[in-house]
Amino acid sequence: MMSTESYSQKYPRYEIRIAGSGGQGIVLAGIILAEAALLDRKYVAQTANYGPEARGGNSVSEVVISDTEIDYPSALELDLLVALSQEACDRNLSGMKEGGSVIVDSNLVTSVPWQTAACLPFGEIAHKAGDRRAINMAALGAVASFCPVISAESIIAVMAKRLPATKVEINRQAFDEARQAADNLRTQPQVCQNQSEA
Amino acid sequence: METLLLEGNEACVRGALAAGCRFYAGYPITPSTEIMEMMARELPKVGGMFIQMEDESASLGAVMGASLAGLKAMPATSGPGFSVMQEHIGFASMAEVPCVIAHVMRGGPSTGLPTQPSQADVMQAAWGTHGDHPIIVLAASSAYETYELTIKAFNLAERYRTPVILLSDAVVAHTREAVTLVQADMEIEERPQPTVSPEEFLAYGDPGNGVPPMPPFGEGYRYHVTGLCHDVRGFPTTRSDEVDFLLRRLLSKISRDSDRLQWFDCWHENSETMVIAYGCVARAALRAVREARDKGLDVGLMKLKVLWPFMSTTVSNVLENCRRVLVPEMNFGQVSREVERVNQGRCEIFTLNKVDGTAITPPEIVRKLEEMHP
Amino acid sequence: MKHKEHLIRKYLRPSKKMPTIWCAGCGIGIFMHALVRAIDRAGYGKDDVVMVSGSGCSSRIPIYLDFNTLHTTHGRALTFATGIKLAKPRLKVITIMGDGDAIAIGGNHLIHAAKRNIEIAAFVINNQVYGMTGGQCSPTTAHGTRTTSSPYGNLESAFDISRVVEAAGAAMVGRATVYHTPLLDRLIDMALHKKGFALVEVIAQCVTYSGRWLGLTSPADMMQWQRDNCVRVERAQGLSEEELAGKIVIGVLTNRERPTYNDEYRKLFAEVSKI
Repeated sequence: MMSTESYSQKYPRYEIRIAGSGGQGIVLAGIILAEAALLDRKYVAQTANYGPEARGGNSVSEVVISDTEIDYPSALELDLLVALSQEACDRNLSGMKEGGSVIVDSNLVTSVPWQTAACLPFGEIAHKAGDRRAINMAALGAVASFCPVISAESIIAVMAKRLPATKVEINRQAFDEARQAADNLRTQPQVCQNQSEA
Repeated sequence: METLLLEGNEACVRGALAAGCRFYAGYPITPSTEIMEMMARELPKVGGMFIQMEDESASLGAVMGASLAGLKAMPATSGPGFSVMQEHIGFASMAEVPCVIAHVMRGGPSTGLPTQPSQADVMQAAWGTHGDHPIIVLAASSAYETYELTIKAFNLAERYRTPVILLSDAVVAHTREAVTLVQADMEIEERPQPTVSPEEFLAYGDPGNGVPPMPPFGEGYRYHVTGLCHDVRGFPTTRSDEVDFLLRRLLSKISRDSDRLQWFDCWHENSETMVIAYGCVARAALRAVREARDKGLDVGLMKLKVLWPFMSTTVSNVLENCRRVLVPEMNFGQVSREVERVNQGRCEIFTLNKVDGTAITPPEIVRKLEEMHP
Repeated sequence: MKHKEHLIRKYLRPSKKMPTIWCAGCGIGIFMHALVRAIDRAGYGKDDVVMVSGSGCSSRIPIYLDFNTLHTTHGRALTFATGIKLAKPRLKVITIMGDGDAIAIGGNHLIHAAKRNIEIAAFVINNQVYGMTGGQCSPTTAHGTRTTSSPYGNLESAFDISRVVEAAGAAMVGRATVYHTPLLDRLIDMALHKKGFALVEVIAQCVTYSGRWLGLTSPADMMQWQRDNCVRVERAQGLSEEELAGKIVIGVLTNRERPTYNDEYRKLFAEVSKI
C-alpha cells in the first residue's frame, strides 16, 4: 500500500519568507502575495511574526502555497527568501531548502552566503519610482520573477486593490522595474557582487 | 458564496456578525486586538453597537448588559485580559447571561509573551472564575474553523444561556487563509422566549431541559437578575434546597446534552498510535502524522474542537482502539491530564510540552513519535 | 398616607418578603422611597425602567422594586448599565451604588461612565463605611476615623465623589443627604430627566457602623448631624476654605449640556450609512 513517493513529494508546497525590519511593509507584502495566490486558485496560508516595536525590530512574513489543502501553515523549508536587512538574511538562511533562492536588497544586505542569490537595489528602485517606502512592492517584483506558482498579473491586481489609490502607480512602477531587473538576472546568470564565500 | 483571505481574528468577526452578534465591548490587547478593530469598523455598518471600555472586566459587564437587553454580544481578549474577565465569567454563568468570549492565547504567566502563541489557558478557561460553574470551551485551529466555531459558539451561548469561550492562539489568530463564508448553510439559533404570561413566568425555573427562557429587558417580563444564589424567580436565597436546585440545574443543563457537543476530526483513527491535539498544534500534528506514516509508522490524529466539557466518551472510544497516545501541547500538560483521566491505564500516554513561545513544529512531533515506537 | 399605599402597591414587588435586609434607622430606605416617588412623578412605565446595582447594602434596593432589575458584581454596575443603555436606548437606566462600590472597586468605571456621558441616572448612597462586610474603612471615611479596618484611625483622607465625577465630565452632579429630602427629591428629578450621565451623591446614615465610629448612637442623632454639617452650594460660594472645613456642600454642583455616547453613535450611524 505504501507509496514510494513521500507525502511532501506527492503534495509539494512552495514556501516564501519575506524578512526585514518593522516599517518596511513586510507583512503587507506577504498579504498581497497570499491574496494573489488565492486569485490564482491556489491553497495558501500567510503568517507573520514581529516584535513589540511598531517600527524597527525583526519582521517576518511567510506565504505557503500549494495545490492541495495546507495542513501546517508555517514554512518548513523555504523555496524563496526575501531579506531586506542583513540581520534578516543572517537569521533566515538556515531555513532554506537546498536549491532554493535568496533575494536581497543589495544596499541593505552586504553578505549573502548562498549559491543562488539575487541582489537588487529595491530601495533605490522604489526611490526612483517616487517613494522609498515602495521597497516592499519592488521586492515583490523580484518574487514575481522567481516564484513559479504566483502570476505577476494577480500580484498586480491585488496591489491595485490593497494599496491606497494615490500610491498604486508608484508601487506599480517599482514592482515592474524590479521584476524586469530580476528577469534579466535570471536569464543571464551572474554571481551576486556581494556574495561572500558560501 | 464568498471566499476571502482572512486571518483568524478577522474570521472570528465574520463569524460573529453572521451569527447575529450586534454588540461588542472590548479593550485592546495583543494578539486579539484585530477583533476589536474590525468590530469597530463593521458593527456600525450593520446597525450594531461598539464600545471600547476601560478594562476587560468592564467589557464583559457591558456585553452582559447588552445581552440582557436582547442583543447577541461578545468581547475578545488575551492573556492578562482574560484573567481580569474571570469575575464576570462567573456572573455570566450564575445569572445565565448568554455571551461569547474570544480568547486568543499568548504566552504567560502575567504579561508573558504578548506576541507569541501558547495553549496554557485551557484550564483557566474552565476554572478561572471561582465556584463550580458550567462553561463551554471551543478551540479553533484555522481561520475557517475560527469562523465556523464563532457561529457555533453563539448558537451554544443562546441555546444553553451560558458563556462560551472560543480559544485560539497567536498562530491561528494571525494566519491568513481562504475562508468561504458559508453562514447560509449554518443554522443560527436564538434564545428561547417564554410561552407563558409575565405573571406565570419563572425567570430561573426549569422548563424541562434545564434552560429557562430569557425575555429581554423592557418587553414586559420584569424579573430580577443577580450573581447571588437565587430562587426560581431570581431572588436571592440561602435556602439549601433552592441553592442545591440552582447549582445542579446550572451544571446539568450542559452536561445532560454532552452528546451534542462532540466536535472533533479524525485522520487514520484506528491506528496503533493516536495523536490528540487542538488549536495550532493540531495543524503541526496533521503534517507530522502524514510524514510519520511515510516513515512507516501507524499513526493517526484526533483534533479536538470542544475542550470543555471534555469529550470523555469520544476520547475514550479512540483510546479503546489504540495502544499509544501522544498529546502535544504548548503548556505543561493540560489536556493530557484529561486524557489520562479518561484513559484509566489502558494506553500508554506520552506528552510533548513546549513552553518557549514558539509553536510546536511537525518535525518535533515526528521525532517524538519515532521515540515512542521502539 | 393613601399616596404612600399606592406607591407601595404599585412599585414594591409583592413576591418579595419583607422586611428589607436593612438595619432599623438605616438611611437607604429614605432614599428608596424618594426614588420611587420621583419615578412615579416622572410617569415611566415599569417595563421601561432598568435598575442596576453593584454589591453592598444599597445595592439590594432593586430586589424590592418591580422593574427590570439587575444586581451585579461589586463596583461594576455601571459597566452593565452602559451595555443596556447602548443596546436599548429607549430604556431608562438607573444605577444604584454604595460609596466603596462606586469609587473604590468601581472608581475606574465611574469616571469612564462620566467621561463617556452615557445617559444613566446614577445614585451613590454614601454612608462612609463598608456596612455589609462589618464596618470597614471606605474611600469616603474621614481621616482619623477608627473603623474595624483602621483600628488606630484612618490614615487617608476622604474622596469627594461628586467632585471626582464632575471633573470626569458628568452632565449633572448633585449632592444631598437623606435629611434634606426636598433637595433630594429635586436632585433625583433632575438626574432622571438629564440627557447624559447624572450623578446624585446621597449622604446617608449607617447607624450600625459609621454612627458608632462617629459616636452617634441613634438615627435621629445622625440626621441632626447631617442637618448641622451641610452647607448649600449657593452659600458655600461665599465662604472661605476654613469656614467650609468639615462641612458637606449640598445642592446642584454641576449641570451642563454635553453630547452623550448614544448621540455620538447615532451620528456615526448616519455617517456610516452614507459610505
